[in-house]
Amino acid sequence: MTIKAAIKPSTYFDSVSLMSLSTKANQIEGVKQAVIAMGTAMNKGVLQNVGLLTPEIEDAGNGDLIIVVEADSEQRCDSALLDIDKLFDRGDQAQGGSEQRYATFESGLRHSAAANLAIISVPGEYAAREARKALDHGLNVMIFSDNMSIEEEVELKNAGHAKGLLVMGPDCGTAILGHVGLCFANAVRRGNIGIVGASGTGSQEVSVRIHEFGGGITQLIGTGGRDLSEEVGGIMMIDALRALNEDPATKVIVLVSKPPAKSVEKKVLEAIKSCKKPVVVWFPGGAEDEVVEAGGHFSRTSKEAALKAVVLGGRNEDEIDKHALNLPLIEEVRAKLTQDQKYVRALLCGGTLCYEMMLLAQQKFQNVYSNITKDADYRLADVNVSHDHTFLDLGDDEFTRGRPHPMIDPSPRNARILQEADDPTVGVIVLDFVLGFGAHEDPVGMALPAIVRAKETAAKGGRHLEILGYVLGTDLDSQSLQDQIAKLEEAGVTIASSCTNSGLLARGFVEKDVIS
Amino acid sequence: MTVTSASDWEKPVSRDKASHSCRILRGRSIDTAFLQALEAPSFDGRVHSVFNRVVNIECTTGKLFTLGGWGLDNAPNTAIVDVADFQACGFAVNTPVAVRKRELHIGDGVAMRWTAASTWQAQLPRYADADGNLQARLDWAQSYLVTNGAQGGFVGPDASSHTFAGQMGITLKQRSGSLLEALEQMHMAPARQHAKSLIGLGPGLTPAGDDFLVGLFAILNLRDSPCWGWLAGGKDVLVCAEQSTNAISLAALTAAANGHVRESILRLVETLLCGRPAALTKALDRVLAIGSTSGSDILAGILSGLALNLRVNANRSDNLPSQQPAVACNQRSLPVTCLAATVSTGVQS
Repeated sequence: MTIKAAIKPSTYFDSVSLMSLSTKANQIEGVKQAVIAMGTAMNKGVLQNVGLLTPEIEDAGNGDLIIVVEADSEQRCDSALLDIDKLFDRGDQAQGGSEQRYATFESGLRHSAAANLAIISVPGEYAAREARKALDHGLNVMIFSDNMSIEEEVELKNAGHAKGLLVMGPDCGTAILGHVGLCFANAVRRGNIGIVGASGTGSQEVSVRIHEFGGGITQLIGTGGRDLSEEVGGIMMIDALRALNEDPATKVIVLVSKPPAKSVEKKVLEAIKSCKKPVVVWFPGGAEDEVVEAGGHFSRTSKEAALKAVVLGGRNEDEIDKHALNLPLIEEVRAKLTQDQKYVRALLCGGTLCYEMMLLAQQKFQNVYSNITKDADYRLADVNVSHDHTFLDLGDDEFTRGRPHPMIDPSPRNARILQEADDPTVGVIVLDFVLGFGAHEDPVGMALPAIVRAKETAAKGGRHLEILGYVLGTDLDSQSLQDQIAKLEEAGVTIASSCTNSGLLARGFVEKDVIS
Repeated sequence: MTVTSASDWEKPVSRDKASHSCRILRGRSIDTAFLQALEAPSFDGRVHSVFNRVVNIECTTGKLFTLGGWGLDNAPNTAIVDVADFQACGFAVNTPVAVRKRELHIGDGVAMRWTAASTWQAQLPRYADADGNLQARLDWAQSYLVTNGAQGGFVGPDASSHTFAGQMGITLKQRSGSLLEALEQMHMAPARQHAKSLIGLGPGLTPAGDDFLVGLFAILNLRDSPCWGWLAGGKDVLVCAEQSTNAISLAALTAAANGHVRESILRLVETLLCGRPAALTKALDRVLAIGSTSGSDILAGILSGLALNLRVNANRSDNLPSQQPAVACNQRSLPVTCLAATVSTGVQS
């Protein structure tokens, strides 16, 4: 073995960058071990104990950064030191950690040799080309763009599978990799639970509940919404499941997806069978027997999935505040609504939040309409007109074509809030507010004027209008969860503690003739 | 803390020629020691180091002060300012820094104004505030650290002693173990040596051994605690420490030895002593979020220090009359004003 060293005099990198550089340096081909540390006497002592102290390192001072490489040949050492130098020079420096803009993918790559992930956010017709380039350069890919053809998605995912690289997407909006939130994600603590999610807000909801229940996340890998379709076949979900199965930090795995194609569900469940770790499955509306038969832990709701994961991860269930449903609150709200106020109108930014709440409503009522239901009889013919109980995913294509997502531009939802408030048959309007990276800085603030006006409109009509709000976020998110909730409460909005509870409360509020 | 502005930058103020094209950073909160230094007859120095969310300033006396971006917690000798990313300010190392007309000018283009900032001062709780559940909370926090702590310093499985990382983990655990054992037996001279052997040891900008000592020193400065003032709260260990670690880490150690630590550490110590279980998780998360492994290593020091207090208390009950180390007795006789006079820096990274 050969040992070579370099010194960067009076160089300070923040600890996070140093650890990141050190990890990457140890992954360079042919390197047995690489050390990047401050040149203190104590660190030099440890280097000496393991035979890595070189004469030049002996001269390093406390404020100097030392780099030592052990590899199987002098050539490898030299080449590794050059590579490490590139890591320092091309984007990993603390002083160079701010956003950099590049006109082309190639130029970005030239200046970020240490990058191992590309996020593609270009018009759909160009996304596959850029993703291919990224894969060719050995990068994992997260494709935020949508409107990519399914053939291209399959081709990219097969290419990624062959190279051992992740292909998250297209239309993948949520991931947390190496504790870094990408696109839309919440700040959650580190822990021992890995999530693979084919739905963005569904994964966010599970990660946030895990955090609230005292657990934490290792990785949250997004797959894109079509991954579990017949055509794509769950390539990414199965690859991610296997990756987390091999990840030593992950002790429990959670799978999140709207109901997959039957044949794909079978494949995923087959993959669970060979997992050596407990796997919690939340496929809303899915069948319990098949999951249990495959050795998985079936969950009916996002909250149950998070709770099961946290308990399997080692937390004592008795110590967890599970936020049991507030039954007196349901009674109180029912008493305020007239007999005519029979319907729930859920105006939601999160697709899977909408899906879960809709399923919970369907357990009680037949006349549940939506723009995302698979049942053609209850699919809204005109998404601008609500019927009976209506659950709208305002982030769906019909609403976002040619305009920003409602998490970014709240004006269409605000207009719809006022529209629903005019309807005397409406008892409850349900709203979600998503916090975290990528989300609006003050989502509640943007909706408050509409909420206040909606309540005024109902009051003028002699009605109480119940507005139920759910804020998806953690105490670590940059927007203050506490402040957002306080603003809603001040406006007379009832707060739900989770997506699951939102669905249960909303349906409970408008249930009539119930003998309690 | 008072939030004074939603934007990173105030509009340029054209009061005089000097500040005509100067961007003003608005201070949100400021540590009283930093405030005193800024309001002294003269304050000048240079930019020592620049990170995304922190700029360290070295004044001509050699002392470090810090500008922290919003979202960071209060800390000794630190001002929190309305800036998300200092890289965007274009600061460079060695840029001259000086106070002019109650503004801290960094080069010619940027100044920090602190007049509307709220003031903050680190104040550790008293050990007497601890309720009967301290041991249970420590046990819980220890298991939380093992599960949620960042691996690489004091946390993580024992690896091969033939690698640097493995040998480092073993060395950190051995030396901290020896330190705690010597303290428990009140052998202060060897304890001092063991503590010194941790300074500058470990990965990270602030080496893991230093971070551990920051946590431990915070506990040694808890009033009314069985170990209060041992090793002079840590100051005994810092003799010649400038030769053992870098300036940024030394500043944090010096502040901790004077009982001055970041707000998140104060909150955690309070919560460990007498907080609710739900608050404990949040307090632990805030500390674990410091740096890469720094938070985990600081937490290891805090938990070790509190556990030491419990053991020393138990030993005392078993071996009355109580034994006190000579150094601790001397330290206890120091007047509070003397401790306050040695306030130093608590620079963040």
